[in-house]
Amino acid sequence: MTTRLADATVLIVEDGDEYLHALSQLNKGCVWIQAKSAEAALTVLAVRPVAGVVLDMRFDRVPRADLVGDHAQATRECSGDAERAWRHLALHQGLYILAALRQAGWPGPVILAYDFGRETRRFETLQHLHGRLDWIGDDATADLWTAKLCALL
Amino acid sequence: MLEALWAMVLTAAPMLPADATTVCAAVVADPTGSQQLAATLAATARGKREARDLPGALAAMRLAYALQPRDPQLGDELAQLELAAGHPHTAEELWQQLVALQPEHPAVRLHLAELWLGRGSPELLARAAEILARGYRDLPILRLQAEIAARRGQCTDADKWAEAWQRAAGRKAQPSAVGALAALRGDCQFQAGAFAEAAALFDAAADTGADVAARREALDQAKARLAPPPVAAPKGARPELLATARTILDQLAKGQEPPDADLARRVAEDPTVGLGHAALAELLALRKDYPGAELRYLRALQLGLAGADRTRALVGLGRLLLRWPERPRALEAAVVLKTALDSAPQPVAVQFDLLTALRTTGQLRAARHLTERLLRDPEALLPSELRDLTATQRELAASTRAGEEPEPDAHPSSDVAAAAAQLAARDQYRQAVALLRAELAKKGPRADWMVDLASYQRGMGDHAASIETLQQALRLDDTQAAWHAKLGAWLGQAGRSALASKHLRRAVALGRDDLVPTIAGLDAAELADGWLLEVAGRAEISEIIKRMDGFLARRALDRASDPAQAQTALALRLTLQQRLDRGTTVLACLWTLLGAILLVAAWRRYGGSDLRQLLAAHPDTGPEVLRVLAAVRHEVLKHNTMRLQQLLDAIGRGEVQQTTALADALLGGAGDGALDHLRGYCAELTRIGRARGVRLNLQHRDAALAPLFAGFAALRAVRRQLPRIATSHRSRAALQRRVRAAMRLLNVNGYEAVRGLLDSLRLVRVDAGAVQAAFDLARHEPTFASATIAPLEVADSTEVLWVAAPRQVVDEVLVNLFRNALQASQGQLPIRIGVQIGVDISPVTALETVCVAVRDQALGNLSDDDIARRPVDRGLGLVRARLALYEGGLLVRPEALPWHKAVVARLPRAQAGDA
Repeated sequence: MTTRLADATVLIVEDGDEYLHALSQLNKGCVWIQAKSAEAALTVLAVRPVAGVVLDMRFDRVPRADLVGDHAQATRECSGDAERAWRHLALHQGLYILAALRQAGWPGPVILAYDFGRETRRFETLQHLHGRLDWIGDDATADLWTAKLCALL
Repeated sequence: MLEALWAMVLTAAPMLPADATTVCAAVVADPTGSQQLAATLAATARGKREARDLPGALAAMRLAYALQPRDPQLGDELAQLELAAGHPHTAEELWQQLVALQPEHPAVRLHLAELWLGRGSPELLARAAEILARGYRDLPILRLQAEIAARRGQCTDADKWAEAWQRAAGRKAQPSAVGALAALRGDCQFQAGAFAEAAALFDAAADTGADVAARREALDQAKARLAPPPVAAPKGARPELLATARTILDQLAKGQEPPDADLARRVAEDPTVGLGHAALAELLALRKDYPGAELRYLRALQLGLAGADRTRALVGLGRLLLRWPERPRALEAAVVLKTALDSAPQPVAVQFDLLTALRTTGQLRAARHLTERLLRDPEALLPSELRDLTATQRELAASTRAGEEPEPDAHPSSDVAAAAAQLAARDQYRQAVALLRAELAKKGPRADWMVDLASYQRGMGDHAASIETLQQALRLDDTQAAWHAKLGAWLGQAGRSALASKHLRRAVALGRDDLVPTIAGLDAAELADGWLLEVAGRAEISEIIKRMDGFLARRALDRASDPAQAQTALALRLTLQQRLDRGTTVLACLWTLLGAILLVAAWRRYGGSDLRQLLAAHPDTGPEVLRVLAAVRHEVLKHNTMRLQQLLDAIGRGEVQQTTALADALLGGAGDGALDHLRGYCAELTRIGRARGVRLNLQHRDAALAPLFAGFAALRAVRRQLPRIATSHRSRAALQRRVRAAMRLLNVNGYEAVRGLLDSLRLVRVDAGAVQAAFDLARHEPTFASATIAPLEVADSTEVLWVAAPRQVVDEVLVNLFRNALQASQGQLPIRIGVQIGVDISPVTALETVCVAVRDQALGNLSDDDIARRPVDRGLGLVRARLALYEGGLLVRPEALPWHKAVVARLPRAQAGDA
């Protein structure tokens, strides 16, 4: 499994650099590419083959213009509070990006960096909606990361 | 045998008494014969003296005295012959022997006194006065006493003895002798500055035919120097100069610096204006031109000034002389200032200057009188002046009393000491000091003289010298309690309490138990005063009190003791006890304060509330706390597990650089580390608590967050050790153990605790029962009392639905929704309200939202925008605000018949045990 991972190119979509730095230590042979928005991720996926995507959930450090999702709908659901709607989009941006990837036709495996341990039904729904999908919690060790990546890719 | 003796006498005229004694030894065994022979020899000697055969007379008298050495008459005659023969020292020695043998013999005392009077030294005059005072006073002695007193400057004594002599002599008194004595007494008064008395005595002397012309002339000159001369009319004086001088004097009196009015030139142009000289003198004095100022003052006084101006000039001159650089001219200053004071009342400052001058010049009695006069009006003195003056009075009283009467335990007197005392009695302390110094230099140190010297120096204000002298005396004789007591007192006044206490203790050891309170007072004064400082000195104060108690106990047993002293000691003890009590109180306060500080510190560290307490007291903080805790779980913990594992591995490999980088990324410091994030979130939680008046202690009390802080603290300790991992395998293993411990704290204890807290936050089940209860509350409100309301029509969900919000918030939302629907449906008969409970799942996020739709049949155009514009304090505005707190929302949707619309409350769905 490690061999497969060593040959792979993995796209990390996150608003910071934490996953890139952490995962870069994981396997020196693996190619890690980073994108910080849905648009950047789609661009990468359009120009090069990517074995899988590691997707952060919360994007509160990027400009609002980089966020994807229906802000108008979110505002309505937030009783007209536009600010709250932006916050909602940021907090769940990983899933909106995932929706954008799927909408763009990319079917590859995705690991969501989010703890769905207590939201199993929700994750099942997401799997039903978005296909090959796994999650990894905040308490994941390097071994767990390796195992998850290898299993998914 | 007699014939043989005569032969020897005649051939051995100049023989010494010792030789004569040898010659006469043969007749000593025959007292009667010896007496007869002596009488014969004395008669022979007298005959030879009348025949002007002085050598023969002297030889015969020597033999006579050798035969009868205890006969004062023969001895006196022999001494007179020795004196007449030019042997004054032999005569003096013989008279002194006779005085020792016959202290009251008038002739012997008289002749020895006359001899000493002739020599004129103060010491011999004092000794002459002393031997004359020993016994019976005949007329010559009375007269001689008067003369000696006059020559010693004791004018009052001179007058007394002169009057006694004249009274006793009556008409026998020779006019020439009366005149000579009057002249001497006049000299005495003249030297004392009593010009009027001197003039009267000179007149009396002149009446007897004495030549006192020279004396009168000297007196007139002195009077002319100091007496106010007639004020000359300023005929030649320019009025402008007078005006200028007056202006300058006025400005100087006000302490102002007068303008340069070219006064020197103008005075030079018209040197007859005394006021000009006076003003110039003051200006020069101000500029410290002492000689120039003195000259101008003297010219001003010589030219004549009016009363106040003259007095001012005298004061200025006196003070100038007193402050003369290097060597103050105190004697002249004393005369001038005294003249000024006699002319007109002077300010206290001037009198203090006079006092200084008098003390410096050894005129201690005059100084004492001046002090007493000043003290008679204490209100005119400043407190400090009164204090200093009182101390000065004590010193002067002690010094002048020492000159008058010996102290009870004083050392045996001596001639030198007596002479010095006599000088002191004449208020000539300076001379007394000089005499004692000269004698000490000549004859070597003597403790008793030094003690006298010290006393005089003290009186003259030379405190340092007096202490030094007394210390020297005590080095010679350490056994005198009185001296130690005196030195202790002086040192105490000089502020040298430690040394003072040492001498006073020595005095106590030598028997002066009365000094115990004084020592206690000094020791107490040594202890710094002040609330806090008295705490440190409590042990010393207790020890002093113990000594005072011992002293008071001894005094109580001694009935002869002075009650006043015991009272003073008691007062001191009381004061000390108060200080001790005060110190004890302060100490108790300090302990209390310390305890309070420790309590506050402990409270700050271990006190305060945790998040569970905050949530229980303020359920409305739930959403905010939930949000922040979720962020903590996400931001703080999500990257740590992997990083910590990497850190563990890197430590095992001994990679210093990598381990350091990893640890720094965790601990941060620049605001971007995991610990920084944790601190930021905790600050946010603290603010939430503070807004509700709750002080959160997350770092030490909170079960969820405290393990995280502990884990980071353990990591920080590891970070400090990382630079050493390259060199030691053992240290690497130890550090790995510590990292694992930190991992347990962060990723097991902390993580589980955060999750547990999130889990424990209350979830509310939304079902038919909940909505029915809310509906019942609304429909029974007084507003709807008259309305006909149909039962609530509930379309419940098939699932069990929970929301993450406090029960009262959910109830409030539901009640408001029903109230709004009932109000909107007023007028319908009956009012029908329905409710549908369902779940909405986002197709993107898969988030489930519990929707409670309250349906009604009321017509109207309620829209989302209407709700968004509603005020947040009531109705749907309040509902919207409440729901927003819990990530919920409120919207309006049209409903199928029979309903018209539904207002939908949306809240995120929570699973039981989920946050």
